[in-house]
This record gives sequence, C-alpha cells and structure tokens, in this order.
Amino acid sequence: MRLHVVGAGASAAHFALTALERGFEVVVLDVGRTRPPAVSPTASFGELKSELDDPVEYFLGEHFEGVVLPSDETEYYGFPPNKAHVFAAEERFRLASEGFEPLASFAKGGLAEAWTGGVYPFTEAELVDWPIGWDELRPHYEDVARRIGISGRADDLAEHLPDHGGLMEPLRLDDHSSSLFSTYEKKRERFHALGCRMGRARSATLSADHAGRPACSELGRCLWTCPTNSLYTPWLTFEELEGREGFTYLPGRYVDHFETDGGRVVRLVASRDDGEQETHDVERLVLAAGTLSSARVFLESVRRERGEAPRLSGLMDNRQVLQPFVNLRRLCRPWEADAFQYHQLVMTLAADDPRASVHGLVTTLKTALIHPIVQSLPLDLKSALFVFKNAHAALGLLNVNLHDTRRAENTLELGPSGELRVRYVPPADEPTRIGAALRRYRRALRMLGCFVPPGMTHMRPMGASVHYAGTVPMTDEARPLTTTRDGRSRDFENLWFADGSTFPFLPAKNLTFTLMANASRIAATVS
Amino acid sequence: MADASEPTALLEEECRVFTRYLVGHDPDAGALAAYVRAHERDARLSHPDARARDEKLLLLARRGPRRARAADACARIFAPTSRLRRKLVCLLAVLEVRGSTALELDTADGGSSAVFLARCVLLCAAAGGRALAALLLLSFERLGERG
Repeated sequence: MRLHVVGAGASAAHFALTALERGFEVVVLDVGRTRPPAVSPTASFGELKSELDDPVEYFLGEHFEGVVLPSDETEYYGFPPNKAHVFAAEERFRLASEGFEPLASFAKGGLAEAWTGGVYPFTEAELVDWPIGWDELRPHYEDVARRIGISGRADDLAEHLPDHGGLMEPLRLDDHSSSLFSTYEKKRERFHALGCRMGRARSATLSADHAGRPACSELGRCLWTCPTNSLYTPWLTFEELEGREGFTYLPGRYVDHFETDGGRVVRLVASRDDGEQETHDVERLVLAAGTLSSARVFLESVRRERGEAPRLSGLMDNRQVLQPFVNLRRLCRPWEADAFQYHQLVMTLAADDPRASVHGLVTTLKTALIHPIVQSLPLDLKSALFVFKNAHAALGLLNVNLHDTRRAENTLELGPSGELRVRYVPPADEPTRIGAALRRYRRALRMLGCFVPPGMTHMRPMGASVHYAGTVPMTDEARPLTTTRDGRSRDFENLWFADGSTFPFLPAKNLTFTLMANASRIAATVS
Repeated sequence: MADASEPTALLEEECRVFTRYLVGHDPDAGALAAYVRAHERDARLSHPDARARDEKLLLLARRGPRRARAADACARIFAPTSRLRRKLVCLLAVLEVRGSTALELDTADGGSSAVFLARCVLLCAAAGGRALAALLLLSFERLGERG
C-alpha cells in the first residue's frame, strides 16, 4: 500500500509518520530547501558576537538583508538570514493577492521552520463547526505531544487550553515573565473579573531531555534556529523518517498537478530543479503542502481535467495585532541574555461566544537585534539608545490573535497565467472586535504594572500570521470541494487533504499543533 | 568602491564620524569594513534622497559627531526614511552584532527609575532643540549660498 504525499511541513510530517507506522509505504515529494548547518552550537547569542569570524554576515546576512532600514512599515524585528530558505521565493509558484499578504514556504519542514513553538489545542467549543469532536482529536494531540515534546501545564488557562496529556514540566520562566506572572497571581480575582486569564505558554521546546534531543539550554538563539534542536520543527521528523524502511523523501520536486481517470488520481506530475518533468503513478495521493500550495495543485489539476478551475472559498487567517508594553518596575535593570527567547506566558480574553475568545502571547524582550526597535523611538539614535538600553529589561510585546470564520468573499482561484489569486476581505465587525480586545488588554497590562506607549500598536496585515486554512473544509454534508471528516476529497476518490485546507473554523490560536494532530488522525483512517 | 558619488575613503570617514556619534569612539577595522561592504551590497544606502534638504542633512552629519546628532534628530522628525537615517541605522546594526561594541550599546546604566524617567523628559526636550538647531543651520547655509 503506497501513499504519495505532497509537501514537507508540519501536516506532512505527522501524516507520514502515522501512515508509516500503519504499514504504508510513504513517498514524499517536496521542493525541499534546507536549513544551513548550525554554527557554534554551544555558544550563546552574546558569545556568537565575539566568537564568530564574521558576526556581521551571520546576523545581518551576506547582502545585509537582516538590516531593518527605516521605512513606512517597520516591523519590530528583522528576519534572520539563516532562515532565508524558509520564505525564499519559488518562481514556479506565482501569487497575486488583494487584501492579503500571502507567504508560502518550500523548505523542508515548511513554515514551521520559522515558528515560535506555540502549541495550543482547540477546545470542544472551537470544534463545533468541525464534523469531529474533542474526543476524536484528543488522542492525536497526545500522540503528537509525546513525539515532539511539549512543555507546559494545566493552569488558569485550562478552559482555553484543554489538557490532552503528554505534557512536560514548563520551561524556566525568564525574570521578566516571572515578575509579570507573580503580579497576575497576586491580583488573580481582578483579572478574572475582567474576563482575563494568564497562564504558562505551551511550547514545543524541551524542558527535559527527550527522544535523543537535549533540554533547552537557554542560549537565547531561538529566533536564529535552535542549534540544539530543543525547539521542535517538522524538519526533525523528516530527519528521523529518512532512516526508516518504507519511507522515501524526494526533494527538488515541485508538484505541478495530478492527472485522473475522471474519478481517481492516477498520476502526479512534478518538475525537478533541473527543469525536467517527471511523473509518478499514484495509488493514493495526499495533499499536505499547506493551504495555498495544496489549493494550487488541486485547482491546476481540475483546470487541466475539466477546462475550467473552480473557485475555492472560505480562506481564513488570524488577524494579529502587536501591542508593545513597558514594565515600569524593571526599568534600568540588566536584561536577561541567557533565556528562552519566545513567549512564555499567554493571556486570554473570554467572550460570550466561547469561539470568539482572544488569545494573546506575551513575549518579554531578551536577545534580539535592537536596531529595529531603537529606530522606531521618536528621538535621535543616540538618545534612543540611552532610552532603549535602560528600558530593555522592561520591554515586552503582546501578540493579540483574533479568530476567523469561513466567508464566501475570501477566495483562492487560478489566474489566466496559472498564478494563484488570493482575495481577502476582513469581517465588517473587525475594527470593533480589535478595539474592544485592545481596551481590555491595555487595562490588564496596567494591572500588571505596565505602561502602554501610545501610538505604537501595530496591526499586522492579513496573511502575516501564516495561519491559513479553510478552503476545502471537512463536513458531513456531501458536496463538491469539501472533504469527509477523514480528509478524503469528495471530488476524487483516492485524494486526501491533510493540511489546514480542511479546517472549518479557525480559533484565535496558532494552528500548527492542530495541523499535526489532525494530519495524524487522517493518516490513522486512510484506507 | 560602493558608488560613484561615495568613494571608499568618504564612507570610511563617514563611518568614523557616525561611530563616534553613536558610541563615543572610533570603529574597529571590522566595523569599518562592514560599513563599506554594506554600501557595496545594499543599493538603498547609496540611493540619493529626492529632497535636497534631506541630502543636506547627510552633508551636515558628516561634519562631526555633534552635528551628526543634530542632523539625526532633525531627520528622525522630518525625514525619517532619508539616506542619513538609513546609513545610521545600518551602522547601528553593524555595531550591535560585533562583540566589541554590542555591550556598550545595550547595557543598562543602573540607577533609579525616577532619575531615568526625568532624563528621558530632558532628552526629548534636547532632541527637539537639536532638531531645531539643525534646521536653523541648514537655513543659514541656504541664505549664505544665495547671498
């Protein structure tokens, strides 16, 4: 029994692993851009600056692409050059968009090569639109948790982050996060009255040695790719799979389309990096390349088959709003260099409709390139540096995530020259929702002793969170352009979707953990 | 050479002035080389400003660390994406990733929060004053050119 899988991201990794464990022969086709080898794997972020022969090239890139120069749309951080492979453009994959800034990855490991490790299970309420419930997904959350290693605990957030089992102890809190959390604990009742809860982040980062990977050694290099692999990415699963019998990884393949006999997929057509085209006879095909890439393969195939491609609707993504804050109690203190770099706390806001709760990731500033932040202060750089270095230990960022629903106006379709056209219109009530959430969060931050600088709230464009989903939804209602509850296409009998395409609803959370669990669930039912 | 209008010697001198402005001493050889290399590889640094005033801020800044600070204060308010700001931010990026200057740039002075906040208020006022001074300097120079 052979399965061909397109893509090598989070969904593909856990689909492939489960299918292999069930006895399937698994062939993965992928463009497969790879990460550069880790440099000085035991050096801390600070040590790298002194120990490397050319720290400028490592941190800023050969062409200084890591420098965030002043522009009208400044982000608070630059993208590390050693992750350039994650978002490197693929000329065969052409996009046109309206109201959306789409990102796609052709890296081995996919977009999760650049994730921050947040793993957040969906609740029963958030699965209401799904044809499956919590009980069907929970065992797969637990399996994935045991595979990848997740640190965290069941705490005040239990209502928003159900306990699926398989959790390790949480990571050590950095000093700033610890200070915020202890203030929360002292004022817990007041926060609860505001409908706000705080708890420890769930992170795919090891707090203890696990499956041959070491516990996080707090080198402060998370953003520059964890050199010890304590922070999980799907790349690790593919490294593990490649040594197993029955598994074949074919990199350097860009899957263009599949061919059918009318009702079944019979052949996969891919172009290699050398420009040659090759075909693969297919028994079962699994699209797990991510919502945009899977849609393009599907639409291109249907267009070749029927002369016209349909339009896929229901594209979803999480709107993200970044709210910087200053913890006044930590001004003028030294900042902590040797610590886990990403968010360690989560702050949620309850809503009347539990599906509309808001999810905020609290990241305290530790190691980072400082020039993007320093230049954003309304002062000359010398003065801004004085302010920044004395405020560094006090700075933090709340990343507010909002939920999204499938709506007909948000679509994917093929353009006349084969480009994937993405169209997105935010919901009409979005400004109201964002305004209400920010007002409550600002109040919560003030209760934590933090100052919220005016004018620095940054609304990221749609597409920036890269939590794309919803274009070929799972449903029990049999209709075209949907899948069964087990991810099986209703258009082609031996085709499965195993990525975010199938999500019928997107809560205000990072979806990667659910991508992995759901892909594993689908693999457990493929026949 | 980075650009016909920006010979290496000019960029090196510019780097020295700007580094003295930002950290109070000359750059090391590595920082100097990286600054020149950045101009060779990133065209945005050498691309002239559309407005003559923004280009004059760069000329003013090259004349010494104190004038660089005044020109920077002015540019931050009136020309935040100008070539001067691009060059200064690029240099800051270079200095912050080099072991020899990273700690100087990002180590807290200690002391009390109240004193720090008071200094912030004074800094804001001083930055405004510097910006105004830079504008006045440019205006006088323009009058001088005409007269």
